[in-house]
Amino acid sequence: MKFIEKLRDLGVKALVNKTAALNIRETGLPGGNLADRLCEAIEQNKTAVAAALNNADTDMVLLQVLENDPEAVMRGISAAAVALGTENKVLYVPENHPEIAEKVASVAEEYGVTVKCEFVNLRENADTMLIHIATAADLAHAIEGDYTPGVWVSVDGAEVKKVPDGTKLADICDLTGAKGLIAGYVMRPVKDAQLPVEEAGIANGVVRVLREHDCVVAETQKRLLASRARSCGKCVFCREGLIQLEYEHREMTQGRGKPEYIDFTHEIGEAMAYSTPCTMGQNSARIALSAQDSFAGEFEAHIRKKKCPSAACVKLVNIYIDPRTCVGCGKCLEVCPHGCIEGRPGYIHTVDDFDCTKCGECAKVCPNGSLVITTGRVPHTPMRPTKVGRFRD
Amino acid sequence: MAQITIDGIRLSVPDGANVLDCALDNGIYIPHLCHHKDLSPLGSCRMCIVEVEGKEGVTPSCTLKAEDGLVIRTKSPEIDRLRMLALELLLTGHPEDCSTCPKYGNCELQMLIQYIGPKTGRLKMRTKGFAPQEGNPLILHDMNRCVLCGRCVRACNELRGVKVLRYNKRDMETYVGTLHDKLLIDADCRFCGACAEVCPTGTIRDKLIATGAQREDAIVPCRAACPAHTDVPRYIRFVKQGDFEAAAAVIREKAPFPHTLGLICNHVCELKCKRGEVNEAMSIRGIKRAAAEGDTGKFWRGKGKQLPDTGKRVCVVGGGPAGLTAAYYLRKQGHEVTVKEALPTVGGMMSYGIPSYRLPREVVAGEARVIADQGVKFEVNCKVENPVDLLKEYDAVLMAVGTTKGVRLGMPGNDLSGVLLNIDFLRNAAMGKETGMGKHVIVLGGGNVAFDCARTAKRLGAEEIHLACLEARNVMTADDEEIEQAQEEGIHVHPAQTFERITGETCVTGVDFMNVEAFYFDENRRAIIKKEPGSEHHIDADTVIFATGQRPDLTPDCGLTLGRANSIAVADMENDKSTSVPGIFAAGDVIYGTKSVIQAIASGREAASQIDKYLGGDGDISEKLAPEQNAPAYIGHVDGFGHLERGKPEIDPAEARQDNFDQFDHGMTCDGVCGEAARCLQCDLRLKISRPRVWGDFAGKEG
Repeated sequence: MKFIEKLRDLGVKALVNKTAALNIRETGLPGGNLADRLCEAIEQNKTAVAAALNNADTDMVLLQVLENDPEAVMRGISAAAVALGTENKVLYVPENHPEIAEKVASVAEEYGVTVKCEFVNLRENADTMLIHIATAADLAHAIEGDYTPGVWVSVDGAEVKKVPDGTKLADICDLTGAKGLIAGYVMRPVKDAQLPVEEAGIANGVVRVLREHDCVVAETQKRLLASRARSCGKCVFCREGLIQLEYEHREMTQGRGKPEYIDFTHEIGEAMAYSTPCTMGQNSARIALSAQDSFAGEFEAHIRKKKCPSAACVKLVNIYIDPRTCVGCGKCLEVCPHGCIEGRPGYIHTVDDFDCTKCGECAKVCPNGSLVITTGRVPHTPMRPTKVGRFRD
Repeated sequence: MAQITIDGIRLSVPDGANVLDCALDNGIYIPHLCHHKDLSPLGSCRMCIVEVEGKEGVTPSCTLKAEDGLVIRTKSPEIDRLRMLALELLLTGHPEDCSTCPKYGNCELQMLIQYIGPKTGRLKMRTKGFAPQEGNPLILHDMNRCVLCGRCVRACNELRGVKVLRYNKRDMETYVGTLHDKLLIDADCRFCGACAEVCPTGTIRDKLIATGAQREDAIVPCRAACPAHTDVPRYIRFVKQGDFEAAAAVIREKAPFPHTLGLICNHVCELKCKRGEVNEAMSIRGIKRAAAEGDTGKFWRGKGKQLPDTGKRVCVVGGGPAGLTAAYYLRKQGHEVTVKEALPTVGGMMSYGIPSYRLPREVVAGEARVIADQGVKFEVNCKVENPVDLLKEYDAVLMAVGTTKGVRLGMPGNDLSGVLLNIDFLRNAAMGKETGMGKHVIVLGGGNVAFDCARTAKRLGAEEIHLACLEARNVMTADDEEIEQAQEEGIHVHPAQTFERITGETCVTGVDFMNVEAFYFDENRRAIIKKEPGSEHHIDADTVIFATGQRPDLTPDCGLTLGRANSIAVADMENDKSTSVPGIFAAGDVIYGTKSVIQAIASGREAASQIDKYLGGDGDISEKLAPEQNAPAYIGHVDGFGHLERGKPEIDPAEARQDNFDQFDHGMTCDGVCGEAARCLQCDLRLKISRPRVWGDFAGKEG
C-alpha cells in the first residue's frame, strides 16, 4: 500500500506539522484544531482511530463526502492511525445507512478499516480518537497536497460543497423572503447571515434558510423528533429530555402549548447539554433553545394567541373559499379527502370547518386561488346555496 | 493510595478507585441507580452527581476516579436541583402507581424517590405500552417498568458473558430485550438470574418470588430441597471441571453415603431444580453417582474432623442410614460409639429393603466400612429389647430402629396362606431365604417399595405379576422410571383400584378389585373414594404382597412413649429428638414414618449434633472437606444451552435384567456426566452478586 508507506516515510512529526501548518480544523463537534487533537490523542495513548459523523447529526449530509471519495476518508483514518501508532481503524456509518456501509466496504478492507454500521457508543470508545468523516478526508488531502481550506456546507439540501473560509452565509444562500437560518445545530435570526461560514458552527454541513412560510416551532419540533428517533436512549437526559421537548413543541403546533413550556425547555435543554456524554444529548436541545432565543415572538403567538404566524401549523390556521372569486367549478370538492366542501356547479362553494383537516389539497387545485389559508379571521361566506356572482356581504 | 475528601470526611482510598464505591464503602451515601458495585460504571442516570472542587458544574461520582487531593461535595442546592430533575425525567416513562408493583417495598427506585423527592405533575407522563413478557421460564419481563439503567445488560454481557440482553428500539422507545425479540431460551439465555438480581425495579423479576428469609433457598432450590442441604451446585461444578474427588468431598460434607445416594436417592432436589422449568431437570443423582464412583477419597479419607476422645459412650440402636450417620458424626466428635444391629449386617433398608439390582450390597458395605474405620463399633445380630437398660452402660442412646414391620390392610382374606408383607418378603429375598411366594403374584401398593416387591418377585421367578394401587397413574408415588421399567419387565400395573377382598378358603386364589372413579381428601383430610358402579373384577393369584406402608416394630413395653402409628414420640421432629426418657434420643423413620435414605441421614445428623451437645460438646458437626472452588462468574455463551437434553444412563434391556439381581443401570458415561453437569444453571452464582446499597442502610450513620 503506497499511501501508508508514504505516511510511514513521512513520520509522525512531519505528519502533525503538516496538519498544523495547514491549520486543518475538526469539522465535527466539538471542533478545534486537528493538529492539537492529534497531539492530545498521542499523549493520551489512544489505541484506535474511528471516523464517524457526530451522533447528533440527523441530516447526515456530510456522508456525501464519504460517498464521493471513500478512498480519501480511509486514507485520512490511516494517517491518524499512523500518527497514533495503531492498526486499529474504524469507520462508523450511521445505522440507517447500511447501503453506504456496503458500498465502501471493499475500499475499507483495502485500508484495513473496520466498518461498523451503528450509533457511536462513546463509552466503548474511551480509548479511541474520534474524528469526523469529513475531517478524515481533509487530512488525506493535506498529505497529498491538494487540501483546500474551508467549510463543508450543503445549502437547502443541495450537494455538499467546500466553501472557502471568510465567505459569508449570505453569499451562499438565497435570502429572498428569509426570516432566519438553521446553521448546524442552531437556529439563527436572518442578521446572522453576515457571519463567515467558519464562525457559523456548521458542524453537520447543514445550512437552511427559513422563509415566511416556515414555522420555527414546527421546524424545531421536526428536528427534535429526528433526534428522538436517532438517540440510542441509554442516558436519561437525552432520552427523556428529548421526549419532553418534542412533546411540548408538538403541543405548541397543535394550539395546546402552555406558557410554562418555555421555562421547561430551558430547564431541561440546558441540563441536557452537560448531563450526557455524547453529542446527541449535548446538542439536540440547542435547536429548541436557540429557536426560543431568536424567535420568541413566534413561540408567544403559538402559546398565547394559538396562532401560527407562518400559517404552517394546520391546527392554528383557517381555510375558506372567497365567495367573490369562486367560479363554482367543483374541482376543490372533487379532491377534498374528507368531503367537507359543499356546493354544486355554478354555485359558490363553502368549506365545512368541522371535518376539515386543513390539508390544503383544495387550495392546490383551485384555478382562481379562491381557497384562502389564513391565520386571521374568516370573512362572511354564503349561508345558503348562492349562485356565482350573487353573493353580497 | 489517594487521600480524598468527601463532604469534609477524609478517606484514604486506592488510586483510581471508583469514588462512588469509596463513599458507599465508607458509610457515605450518595444516591445512585444505574451504578452497581459489580458492574462497570455507566453514568447515565445522573443520580450520583457531585461537585468537584476546582471543577465547574457537576460530575457523576461513579465515573469519577480517585486521585490524591480530590475534594468533593455530595450535597448542594444545584446538585439537589439536578438530581430532582433527572429523577423527574426518569419517572415520566415509569408507571406512577407503586402499590400494584410486585417489587413494592424492595424497589431501589421507590427508595430513591423517597430520598430525592422529585417534583411531580409537571411533565408529560407516558405509558410505554409493552406487553409483559411472561412466556419465558423463571424470568418475567415487564418493560413498562424499565427505567433503562442498563444494569441487566451489563450483568448479562460483562459479568456473565452470556450476551443475551441488549438495548433495542421500537417506535422510538428504547427497551431491553433480545436480538429480534426472541424468547430467552432461543437466544441461548443461561437463566443464571443475574439480570433479575441487579434489576432495581420490578422490570425483570423471578417468577418464583425470592425475598426475605427464604431468598437464598428460593434462589438455590436444589440445596434447600435436599433434607441434608447438600451443596448441589458446588459439586455439580466440580464434576463439570472433571474433579470427581472434590465433588465427592462436597457430598461427604453432608452425608456419609454418597455412592448409595447416587444410586437410590429419591432426589427431591431434582423436583425443585430450576432447569426443569427451562426444559428438563438436572440429573443430579446421576452426577452424584459419577462423583462417588470416580472418587478415591483424596480429600476426605483419613482427613476431616476427629476430635479427641471425650470418654463418653453412646449406643446407637439400629444400623440403618439414620443410625450409621449419627454414629459416624458422634464418633468424629470424640465419643465412643457402638451400633447395635438386629440383622447380620448393618445398612438397614439399604441392605435388606432396597433390592440389590438397585443398590449392590458391596456399595453399602464399603460406605459402612468408612464408618467402622472412623472407630464406630458394630454389634450385629443384636436385637435390643429394652433400650432403657442401655443407659446403665452408656451416656446416651439413639433409637434409629426404622420401620421394619409391614402393614396388613384390614380386609377380608388378609391372613390367608399366601399373603405376604413387603418388608418380610424383601428381607427374606435379600438374605436368600425362602419367601413363600408362588407363581402368580399380586402386589398391593403403588410406591417404590411395591415396585421393589414386584420386580423382586419377577427376579425370583414369578410367572405373572400384577401391581395394583388406589392412586391414579399420574399421582402414583413411585418414580416414573420405576413404573416404566417394571412394565418393560412384563409387570402389569393397575392404577386406580380398590382392594375389595382377597379370595380363597385357606390359600389365596386372587383379589377382587373395583375401579376408582375419584380419590381425594376432603376438607377434614379424610380420604374419599368413589367407585365405578359395576366395575367389580377379579385377578387370579396364589400370592398377595401387601406393600401398603411400614411401621416401627415396637411395643409399649420398650419403655418409651410411642406416638402415631407406633412411632417413638420425640419433643420436636427436627429440633429436639429427645424421647420420654432422658438420655434416649430417636431419629430416622422411627420418628416420622417411612421416608427416604437422605431424610434419614439428615435426621441422623441432627440427632448427632443434639447428642453431642447433651454430652457436653458444642454440637457443631460441620466439616470442610472439599478444596476451595473456583466458580467463574463469567459463564459465557453456549449455543443452544436451553435446549440441551438431560443426560441418560445406560440401562440393560428388560430381557437381560429381569431374571437376575445384577445392577442394570450403568449410569452415564464419563463424557455424558460432564455434559450433564454443564447443563446446570449455576443458580448459586447469583448469591455472590453484591446486594443493593440503599439510603435506609446509611440512615443511622448520617444522623
